[in-house]
Amino acid sequence: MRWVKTLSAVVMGCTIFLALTGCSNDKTNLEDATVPLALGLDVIDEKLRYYISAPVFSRDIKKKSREGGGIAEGLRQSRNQQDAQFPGAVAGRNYQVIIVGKKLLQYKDWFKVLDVKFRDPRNTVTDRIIAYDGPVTDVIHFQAKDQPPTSVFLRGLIDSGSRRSTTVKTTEQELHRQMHDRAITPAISEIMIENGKILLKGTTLLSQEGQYRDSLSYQETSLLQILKKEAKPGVSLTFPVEGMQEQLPFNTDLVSFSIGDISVKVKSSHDHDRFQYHIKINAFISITEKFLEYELLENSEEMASHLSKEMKKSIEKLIDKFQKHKIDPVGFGLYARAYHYPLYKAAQDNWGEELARAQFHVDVDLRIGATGAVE
Amino acid sequence: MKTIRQVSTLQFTLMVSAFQISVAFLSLPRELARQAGTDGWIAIFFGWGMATLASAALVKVMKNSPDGSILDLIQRYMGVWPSKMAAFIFMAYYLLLAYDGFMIASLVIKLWLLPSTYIYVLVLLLLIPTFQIAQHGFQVIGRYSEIVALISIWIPFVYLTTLRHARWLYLLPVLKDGWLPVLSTVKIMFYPMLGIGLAFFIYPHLVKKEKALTAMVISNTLTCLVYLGITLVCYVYFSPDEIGKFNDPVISIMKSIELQFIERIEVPFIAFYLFVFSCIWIPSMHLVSMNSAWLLGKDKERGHLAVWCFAVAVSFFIYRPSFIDVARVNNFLNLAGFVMEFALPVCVLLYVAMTKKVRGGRRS
Repeated sequence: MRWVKTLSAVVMGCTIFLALTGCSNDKTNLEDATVPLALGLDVIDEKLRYYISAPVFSRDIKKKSREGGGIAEGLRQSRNQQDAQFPGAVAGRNYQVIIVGKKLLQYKDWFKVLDVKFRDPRNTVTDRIIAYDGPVTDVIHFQAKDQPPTSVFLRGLIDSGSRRSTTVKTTEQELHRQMHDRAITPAISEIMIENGKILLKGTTLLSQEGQYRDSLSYQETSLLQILKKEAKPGVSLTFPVEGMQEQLPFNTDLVSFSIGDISVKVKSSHDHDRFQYHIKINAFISITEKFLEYELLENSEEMASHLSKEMKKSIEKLIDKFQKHKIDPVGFGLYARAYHYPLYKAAQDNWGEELARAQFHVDVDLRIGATGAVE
Repeated sequence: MKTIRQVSTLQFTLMVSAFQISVAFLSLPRELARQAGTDGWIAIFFGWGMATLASAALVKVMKNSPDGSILDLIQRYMGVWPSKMAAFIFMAYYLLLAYDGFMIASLVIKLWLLPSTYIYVLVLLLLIPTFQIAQHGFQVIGRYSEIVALISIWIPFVYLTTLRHARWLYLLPVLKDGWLPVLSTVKIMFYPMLGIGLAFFIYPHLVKKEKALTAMVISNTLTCLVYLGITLVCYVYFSPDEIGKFNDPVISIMKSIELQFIERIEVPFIAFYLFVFSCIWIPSMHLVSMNSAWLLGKDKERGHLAVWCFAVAVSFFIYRPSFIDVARVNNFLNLAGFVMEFALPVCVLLYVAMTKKVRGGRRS
């Protein structure tokens, strides 16, 4: 029986050898690949434009990235065109950011352009989605001596911004969820270019179909994140306190505070043929900046109730904004679905309209926990 | 029947559980969600109940044959030809299960890891360790299952990290459309619970036969806990409106995990999952060779196994399956599995009981 063993060893050796050579086709050397880190999507003359920016690894080249772009019907469809602009095969798999022009956001269902990112599982889906009001080519071709490559810079901008709740952290996967879930509408980060610098602008709110609806400032974004229960401790808010307003280079009636522990309770009910939401926010705050003369120690309760009132006003204004645009970036629909399913089910296809009819009762109770090291 | 290769209770438990979980857990959350929305997880409890009842019947049947497999039992009660037929049916059934496992594993690897590698190359590579383990019978397979279970313990913890993005409100309301969608989902719970039929063949090897039922209940419970965990994790991560759009939510969910040093965390996972996947085809291939050896006279299982491994490799070379074929085979296996592992034990039990009564009646 010895020949059986020899034979099986030979056969096994051959199969392993064959199999290994089989796998050798399935690799890409980094030298042969171009790895774009930013993707821009825009519409010019009613045609979809794409832009990509890939880092260049070479000491002799001053410019650290190379850009490409063109007209495309689909991202994957344009691959040959992308390959033609770069040395090496373009592997559109590692985008860190996707910049979407506001013009594209005018179209319904623009999100379908990104289908390939989900269909081909080798693509990452944690890239941040960013809206830009203007021609996307400006962002992609943006060069500054004091700034790392735009793609890396933008990702850092969004990550640190979302940690402070000045923008949302909507990755592609998250956008997929917000687009498909009928009980919530999407919100993505927004940037702008001002005085030759890329700046974070806040948040862009989209409709259920992905169309542009409205933009939010930093503070409004923070409030949105608080309502979504996604605000991390350390959110900083600033409200005016009525009183003296002197003509100084800085506004003297403003009080800034940062929020420590925050509890947001949302209760939903259905009454008078419309959804009713009771939002109760309890938070400990610490005053971080104040200019006006005000005895905080003695009048801290008065100050707290004043700030509470201002915050309540801002939240109500924000919700009014949502209702006006018939959108639901907070996800109030989730509560409706969870607790009033039959009523929600009847309205789920037009949830924005239904939410516009809903009534909100906001209750904010801030307590001053610390006033800082000086009076 | 030789009983030198004995199987401990723990090995038996893990073998059954690993067989059940192996490839079925990939698509389970999606299938449950497509059928019953966010209430799909309730159907898992029904799956547990049915599998436990079937296990009870199975163990009861096998008590009549402590020294031989189901084939010996059939031979004793019905004769040689019925037992040969049973061997043929079992062989075909386990061959299909093994084929199903190979299909899913190779397609998943091809889709997620090695898109330009041929499926038959992957299957060929998988068959080599399969042959080496399966040729030694249930004891070695049992040890292998123990190792797989041991090195897979950390996986649930990784899934728990995705709970950062969880929205628990997605689970409410429970029973949003009543019991009907849940009850109609129970019918797809057979395929994920397949594996209890292993007891037909392992029972004679068990060291502690009186603990067989306990072991099976434990393994069913373990399987269902795994299913429940993975389903709930997927349900609170994906919104109810999108979960049906992902083919393998269990893998897709890992794409949300971001680490500094690795971009596609699912890659090492899928490679690792091969251990888990292999727990369906290794016992299956062993059973195929065992049954075909029974058909053609005993004691040449190793040769049969080699032939069957070769046949599987060739079949993948000739016919290259797609995900659509997988769905079809899974559908068929759901039905065939119900007949083989849920209905069959009950029928055999009734037959044996009746025969005993008739024979007993004659004697007295």
